[in-house]
Amino acid sequence: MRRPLVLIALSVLGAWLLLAVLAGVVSPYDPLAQSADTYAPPSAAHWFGTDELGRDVLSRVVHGARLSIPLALAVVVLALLLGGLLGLIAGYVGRAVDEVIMRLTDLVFAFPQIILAMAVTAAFGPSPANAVLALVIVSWPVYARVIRGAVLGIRGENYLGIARMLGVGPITVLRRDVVPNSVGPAVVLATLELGNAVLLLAGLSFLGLGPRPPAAEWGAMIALGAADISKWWVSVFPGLAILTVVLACNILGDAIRDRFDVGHR
Amino acid sequence: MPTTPDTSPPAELLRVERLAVTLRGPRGPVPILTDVTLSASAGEIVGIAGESGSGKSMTARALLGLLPRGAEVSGTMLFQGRDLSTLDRRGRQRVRGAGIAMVFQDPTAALHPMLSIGRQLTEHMRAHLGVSRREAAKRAVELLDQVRIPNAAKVLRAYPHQFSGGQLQRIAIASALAARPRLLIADEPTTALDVTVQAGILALLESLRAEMGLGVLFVTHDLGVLAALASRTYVYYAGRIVETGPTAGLLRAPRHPYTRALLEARAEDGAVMRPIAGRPVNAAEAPPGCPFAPRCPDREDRCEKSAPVLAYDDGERDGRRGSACLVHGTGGAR
Amino acid sequence: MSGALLEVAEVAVEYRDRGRGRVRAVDGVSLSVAPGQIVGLVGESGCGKSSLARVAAGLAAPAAGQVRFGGRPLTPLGWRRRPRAEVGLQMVFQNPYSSLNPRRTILSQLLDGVPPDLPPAGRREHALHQLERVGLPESAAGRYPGQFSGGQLQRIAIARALAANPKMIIADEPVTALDVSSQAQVVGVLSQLVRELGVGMLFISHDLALVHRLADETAVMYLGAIVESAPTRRLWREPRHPYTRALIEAIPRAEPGAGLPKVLPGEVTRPESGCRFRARCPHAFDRCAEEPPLTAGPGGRVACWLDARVPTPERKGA
Repeated sequence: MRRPLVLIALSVLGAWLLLAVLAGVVSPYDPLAQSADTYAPPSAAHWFGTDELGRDVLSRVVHGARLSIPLALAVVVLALLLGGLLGLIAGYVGRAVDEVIMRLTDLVFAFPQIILAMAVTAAFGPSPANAVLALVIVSWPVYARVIRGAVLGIRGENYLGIARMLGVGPITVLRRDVVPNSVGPAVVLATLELGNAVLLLAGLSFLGLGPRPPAAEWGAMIALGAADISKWWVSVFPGLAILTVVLACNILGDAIRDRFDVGHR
Repeated sequence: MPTTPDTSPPAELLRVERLAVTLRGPRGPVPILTDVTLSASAGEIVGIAGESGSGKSMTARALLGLLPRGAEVSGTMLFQGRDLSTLDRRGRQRVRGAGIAMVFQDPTAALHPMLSIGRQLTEHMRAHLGVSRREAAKRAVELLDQVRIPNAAKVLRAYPHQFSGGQLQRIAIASALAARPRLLIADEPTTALDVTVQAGILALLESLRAEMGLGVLFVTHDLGVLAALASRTYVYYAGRIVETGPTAGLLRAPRHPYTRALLEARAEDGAVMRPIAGRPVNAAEAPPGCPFAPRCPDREDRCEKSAPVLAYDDGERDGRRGSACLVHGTGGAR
Repeated sequence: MSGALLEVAEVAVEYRDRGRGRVRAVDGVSLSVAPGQIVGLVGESGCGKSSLARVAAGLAAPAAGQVRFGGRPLTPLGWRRRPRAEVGLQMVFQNPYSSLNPRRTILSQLLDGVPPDLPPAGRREHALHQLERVGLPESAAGRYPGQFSGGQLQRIAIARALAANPKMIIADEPVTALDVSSQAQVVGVLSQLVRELGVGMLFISHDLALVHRLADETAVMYLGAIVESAPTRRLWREPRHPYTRALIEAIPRAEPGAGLPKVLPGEVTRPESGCRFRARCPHAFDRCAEEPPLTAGPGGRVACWLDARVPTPERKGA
């Protein structure tokens, strides 16, 4: 029954990826080119209108995908790698190591994500790289916990002990027997988290802690438009861009999770 | 001790005639049971023996109306003269509560982990018998005495996790007996238990039979258990009955090659433990002709062509030997 | 005990339990297995036989005592790769579904234990040969565990252990989870290994009839300790410990008119002192307030004051 929804989500994400790749070709104007035509409402010439410097909002939204989506992907992949590694170590080694890593995740969980991310970026100085770093720091614990749980779930399986008795080293067992049987849930989580990363990234830029102007970034664009609500098009269109990406990621993540659960029952 | 027939014929509780069950599968109908005919009387323990997939548990489920949705049932299932297959849901529920009760392999499945034993026993009774709280509590103590659980008053306040597997199975039996059923269906009730604990449960069922005249349908994979307990036995293979008769005779001189193979595959005092070639099939995988033919040492050409029917000695059914084998049985081709 | 392949000496196993602190699951157990010998270890659930198996296999460290394999102390598995000499000790578990990684092919898992000194071409051949030994076609090698039945998986698990050319196999309830027809097959494969290859085997089971069929020597465990051990035939014909007798009498026999098996009253709980079986023992008497030592005599070891070979306790202190 949810198939059509999943299909739509998939095509929305696909479309965004395509737009990001072809931004230079499909956008009608240079996203940074200013003109005298400031705050023009949507029209045939500027479908999404123009902003305070007369830049074409449509072109900026399209180019924004080029910035937001790769950065969000970077956040998710790096957090999955870091959290996954720590979770794996916590679950497999156990005892004191597990204790230390889990207390560390508690520490991160104790703060609201966006506040902690702000603090980190503010400390390192606002830049796209630092925004990504901050978001990786606030989001790795989720992956660590999920992977640790999955590792604990298979720790009692005989095949781990049997491999060791057959003379296979612990690292090889970890790589061949533990990892493939415990990463599934975390990968699902990563799909869900992609939308969240887009949102957090936009949040940081909105606060001026992400990519610096004049770069076209969705969160920063919303911040520009928020100053004057009567010029709604300046912030609504990048807002819609964020909305579609986040929704599509959530729908897709849910679908994958359902599929995953059913397969294991 | 196997039951010895009284002078007066015992009241027949259950009569199943030509029962067939088909489930709906993703690729069309899946046969589960074919042409099952059996009976059980009050004060009698009847055994159903078979491996996994033989349909032995499905028979129990069909009797209780616990088949999966979309199951097609044909044939008749009479309980004390009433046709179970024509009853609506409420009628079935009434039968399930008061007439037929069931115990399973895993006693924890029948007991709620968060409720006290007393509450589980009494609520069952109040729902089915409509007795007062005090009467129910009194009866619960009686029930625990009946299943030989000491310190009944203390046990009623305890929770399932405080008991061992054997004790839990006794409590599950007590709960099944709460509504004074006439027939108890026991589906592998001792399979998960240790031998010494199993011995206790078997003795308990035998005493319930002797003292209360309870009828018991005992489903198991272990012919050894039936040797001790059941007066008559039905042997299942691939969703049908391949051999039946008084247990002692069936064990002394098994007629169907499958029964023989089952007995020889058992680890019994120093005897050769002979594996059965191939693997067991269920009703859906059964080949045309005799379902056991591909694994049978005595197979003849005709076995692969025509399916043998269960035929009984002297043309009578109840209590008689019968087997569905073209080579060794009394059975002829269909 | 010269010539023993596996020696378990005074081994104790403990685990931490939240409510009760340290719990002793195995309490000073000694036994040994020689090449070509099958030693059966029987007991009911919770008697500690599986805890003992894990320690004997080197999967866990004992709280006290020692396990020796091939004359050398066995190192419990830790962060180092298991020494090649100890790879000769293998184990087969009860649950075959858990014994193989569902995401690796059978061949890849068979290769785990193949001796590294074989040339690359010989390794594959060696692995495939093990499948043949357990009666499975070579075509099974390319498939995944999900495509096999429980009985087949158990035979694959045995083939996997065999790939390491083991000298000793610990089999912990290897057929309990299987159907009657697969049980006989797996038992056939295991006993063939011992008879033809001279492998030593510790066969652990709750099924006394099965152990009777298979084992040369049988040890009976109750609440963490061996209460009797003897050559299987002797033990069966003439059980000396009341618990052994109760176990044998509780087995249902598929014989006409066998009658109900005998019931052992009571629950498995350890008395605070004395013989661990005395609360359920039909013959318990005042001397049983002291724990009888497991005493060796002609024809086996037994821990029971009723047995003449057990010396009368000397009063300590008083």
